[in-house]
Amino acid sequence: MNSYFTVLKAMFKNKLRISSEKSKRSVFAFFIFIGIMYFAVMFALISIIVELKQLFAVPEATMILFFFMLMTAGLIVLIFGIVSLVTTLFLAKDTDFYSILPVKSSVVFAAKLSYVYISEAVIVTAVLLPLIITLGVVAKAWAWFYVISIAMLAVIPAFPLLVAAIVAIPVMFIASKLKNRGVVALIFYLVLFGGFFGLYIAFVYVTTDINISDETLYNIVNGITAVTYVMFPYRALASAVAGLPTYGLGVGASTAVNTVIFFGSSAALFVILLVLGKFMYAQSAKANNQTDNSKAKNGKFKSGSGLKALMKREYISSLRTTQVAFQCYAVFILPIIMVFVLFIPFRNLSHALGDGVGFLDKRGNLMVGFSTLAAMLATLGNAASTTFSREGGAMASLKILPVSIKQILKAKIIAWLVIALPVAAVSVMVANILVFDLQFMFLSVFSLIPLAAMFVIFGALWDLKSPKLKWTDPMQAVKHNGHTTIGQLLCMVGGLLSIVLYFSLLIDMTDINTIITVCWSVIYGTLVIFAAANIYLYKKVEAYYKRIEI
Amino acid sequence: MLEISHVSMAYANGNVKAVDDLSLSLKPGEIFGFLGANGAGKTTTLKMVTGILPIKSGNISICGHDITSDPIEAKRNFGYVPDSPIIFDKYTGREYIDFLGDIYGVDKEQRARVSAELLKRFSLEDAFDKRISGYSHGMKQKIAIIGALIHSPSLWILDEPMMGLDPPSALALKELMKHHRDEGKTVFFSTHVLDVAEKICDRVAIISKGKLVLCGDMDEIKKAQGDESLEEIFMSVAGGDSHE
Repeated sequence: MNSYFTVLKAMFKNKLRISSEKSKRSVFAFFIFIGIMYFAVMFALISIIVELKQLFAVPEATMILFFFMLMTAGLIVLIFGIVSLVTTLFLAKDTDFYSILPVKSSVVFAAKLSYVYISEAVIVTAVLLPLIITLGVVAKAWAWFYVISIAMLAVIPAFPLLVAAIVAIPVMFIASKLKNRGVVALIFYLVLFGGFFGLYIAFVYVTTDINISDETLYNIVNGITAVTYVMFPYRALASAVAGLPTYGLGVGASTAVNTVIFFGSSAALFVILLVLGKFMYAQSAKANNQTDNSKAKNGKFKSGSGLKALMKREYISSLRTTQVAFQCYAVFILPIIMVFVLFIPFRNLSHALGDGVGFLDKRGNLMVGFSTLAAMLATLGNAASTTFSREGGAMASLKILPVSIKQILKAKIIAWLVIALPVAAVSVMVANILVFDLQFMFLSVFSLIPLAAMFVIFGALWDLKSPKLKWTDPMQAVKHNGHTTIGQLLCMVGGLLSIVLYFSLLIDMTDINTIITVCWSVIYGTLVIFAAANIYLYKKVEAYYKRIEI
Repeated sequence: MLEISHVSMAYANGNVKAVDDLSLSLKPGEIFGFLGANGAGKTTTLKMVTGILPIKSGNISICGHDITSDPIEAKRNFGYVPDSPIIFDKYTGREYIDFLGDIYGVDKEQRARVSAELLKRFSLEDAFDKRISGYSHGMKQKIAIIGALIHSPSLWILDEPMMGLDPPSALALKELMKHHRDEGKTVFFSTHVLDVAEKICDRVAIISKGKLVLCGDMDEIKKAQGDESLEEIFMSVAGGDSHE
């Protein structure tokens, strides 16, 4: 048991300890950023629950909402838990390290699984606890509501983690057969990520359509009810906390039965997870120690330009580990997702209301949409903004090459523009197709696409100014990189400012044409400011490069 | 070939002098050993020579090109083998050579010729199309050596090159260094292995606490020191300053 706690403690220490190389300012900035995001999202969700408080007089409504809260938490655990599960248990770098210690592999496995489980339970608690308390207060829930709700927080990760372990089996199998395991896992994550948001977009598309027929609405309700039955343990728990009489029993008896169903099925799922996970851990540990005896293929030399060689190197190094690849590439789908999420409801609204007025004004909505997109385009500079930090010690191998920093910079920037510009163009195109307005089309095409380019260039230049090179794991260059985080936040300022100005002026009853002029001026102003900043930083690249010490 | 003139480097806001007013001049057609205890300043010097570290004071020129003011041309003239394995671990050996070939503008024929010869010398043919991440430390060292020579540089710089090499590969490397010298080119390497330095170096320099304490022709030094072995000479001038 001592070994179990020692390993578990070591894992948490390793994860949570802040690197001594990090400045207090960057750590503080990072936590402030996370805190603001968390409170903003929580505030929005709590506001929705409070607004809908009339609805929760009906236990069925409380049950449905609680069920969907559980589903959301479960999906969060599934999406993020699978990454954690695969990287901590099955494709872990420390497998060899632990295997030479005088500790049973089952103990190491148990500690690792506990680590993943506890981490996910903490995330679930952070997401659900404020919502549960709010729901309990507005629904005037009984005491049992709080008792079961809080107890279930520790149990919720069992089901999604089991699903994650099952889903990981084919991924691991395919990955083991291929040369570049990181790419397989990355594609899998992107499909999972894209699938989740695809479903969400479809949901938004249908539910915001005012012209929806009664038949379609009936089908949607039936579909939702069917989902609650498929995920029966969650439905049972939601029924228990809502005090809903089920199975022809009274409230007390059905609550007891539903509670037993949830906790019993969770315990069974946990046992299956334990057995399955242990088997997979043993397999992956074995695979990790197998020597690659395959015969090397007889390749041929391929020559190309220095620029292309540097670009290829940039792509290959970005795929160095699955987590780094995910951080570099997954964000590219965010602007496209955001366009669908925002512009589908706007399209449905404009179909139903025509040009609208006030908060429902078609052009006003478009302005909010394009301002949000301007802020979201900052994510396109994500990979470029860590391009030098990700080099780490390899910066020395760059510095000895007979290539100027401007050539290196050019290769890195082009490598990411090749992806970012088409994404920006598709986002802008989709937005304009969904809700067409000639003036907005011209204004968006000539501002947002160049803005995406400016963000990519700014990201690379900003990182070169102060790259974080002293790391042992490439993820340290990407995550908790304060300088980079500040750069990314700067890129979002223009779009966010435009949104704030839009609503402030709208509340002041300013004429919509004036508001739109102000907002587009802010976006074009952002473009000019970033262009100027890039010119300023570019003039100093030689000095920045020279002062880097490895 | 390589001129190091009054170069200094300090760490910790100038409080620790890693290299102190170092001057060296390397000629074409020689193997030059750069010796010193751990922390004496060897790697820092090599990093300044190769442009990895900026030079705070003094000058370094390679084949007449100043590493600070004309870095690109200076870098075209040397090949460098670092002490730690290369970090291009997602490349195959061939892809790594292709990358360097593209950067140095080496044509496919030269890539094939040079790498074929060196792969045979180091018995690395079977691994050449496999990923570097699967290589042992010694294999990584070998592919780094091939990469450093793919453009036939005038100056070949190596930092602790014998580390991790098996005896046949170490012998092959020594032969290669001699061959490079015999072609009228220069080899500049740092090492702890004094036996190797004694056997293959034409000239050596010993650095201690960042300062040059001895420099000269191998035979002349030994004669001047009463025909002592290099190890004895080293211990008498720099033996007591190991920092690690």
